Amino acid sequence: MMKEMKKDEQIEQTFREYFAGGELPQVDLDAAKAELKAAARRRARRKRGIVSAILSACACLLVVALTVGLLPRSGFSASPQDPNGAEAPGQSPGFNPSGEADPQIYSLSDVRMQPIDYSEFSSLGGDAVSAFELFSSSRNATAEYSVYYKGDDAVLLSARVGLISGMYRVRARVYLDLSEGKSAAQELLPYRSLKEEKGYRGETEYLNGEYVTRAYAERKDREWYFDAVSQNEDGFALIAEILLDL
Amino acid sequence: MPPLDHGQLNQMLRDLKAGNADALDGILLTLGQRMFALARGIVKNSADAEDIVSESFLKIARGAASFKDGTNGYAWIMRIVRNTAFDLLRKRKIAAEEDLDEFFCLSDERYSPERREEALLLESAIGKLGEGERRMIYYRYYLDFSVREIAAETGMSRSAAERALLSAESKLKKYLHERGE
Repeated sequence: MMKEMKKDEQIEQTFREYFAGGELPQVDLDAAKAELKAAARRRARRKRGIVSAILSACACLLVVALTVGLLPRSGFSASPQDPNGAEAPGQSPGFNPSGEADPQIYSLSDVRMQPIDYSEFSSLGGDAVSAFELFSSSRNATAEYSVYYKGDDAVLLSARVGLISGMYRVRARVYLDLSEGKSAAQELLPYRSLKEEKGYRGETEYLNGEYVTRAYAERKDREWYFDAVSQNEDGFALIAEILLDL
Repeated sequence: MPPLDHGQLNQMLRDLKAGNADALDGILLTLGQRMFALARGIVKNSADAEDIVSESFLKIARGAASFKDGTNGYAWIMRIVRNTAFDLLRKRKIAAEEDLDEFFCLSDERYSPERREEALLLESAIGKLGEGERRMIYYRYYLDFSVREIAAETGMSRSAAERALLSAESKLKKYLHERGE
């Protein structure tokens, strides 16, 4: 990664003083403060909901365990048949020793897609998508955003971006997984097995006069999937430079 | 004039994330002038600029939970202001452009009389730069863009963007020094 150039301190100081001379704008913060309180209440409700769900799940498991005789009703004492002490509970069918569940696989055609603006895209994706701002505000670029819902859960973000650089144009469809590994789109799974390159996995083919690149990367705690098309073979590299900081 | 403390600003964003509404007042005091200057530079009138700053604070409050600690809070906030200003222009079907002349005339109105002379020195020095050089200064010192972001914004390679920025900074310092004599 290229070392970032520092700002000139003298110019920075001059601008600090320049901005400091302006009057503060007349700004109404009431709506923002109300929104902050509302957001805190929503988070608290979600936490209570999660805790209730966990407690309910534990209670259900306890009932089931008692019913099928996995736990002795009188406590954790040694079985009378085992003179050496209590036996370890056996594994139930399908038990995953690592504790992690396999991701739920879905098809993109089976989930609901909704167009959104950059604000919502940024809100859903967090810091991982901050580089997309360049596409939204640059005069050389275009961007359209969508989110995919599986039920009520946002599982995937998508961005169609276009960028002009010099004499050529790059178009790309970018997907970001939001489920943190809990689910995966079956159409995107093969991207994870592409050839390892520097900083990502990918392959590029020359089709109908254009370079078509498929790629996969893990960056900023997210899984990224790319479909890029360009007349120049370095087209994908430009997108990757911006979004993945390669 | 103490430097803009990025650490302090990020602490305010952490406080905001934790639900402390007073942090919004802190952000307004620290960045309010810059946010207003940026908004006014894009929409070219003060009333709309104030509305944009108000709306930006609403978005900051909404987005605080997703702000990642350790990243550039100042740049995050200024992007929100810039995008909100562009959204307003798009709603009015006005081309979303940044007229650089509007960004470097803060001393025109509502400016501290004690600082006006120094402000005019800076504005005059910037006025001597070419369009591309002023744009570099705007991206770097108004928006706090990194070189990578400037490169993406302009379609340049990183090394070309770095050279252009260094050239602009060098000329600006030279003009500031000349004007200050």
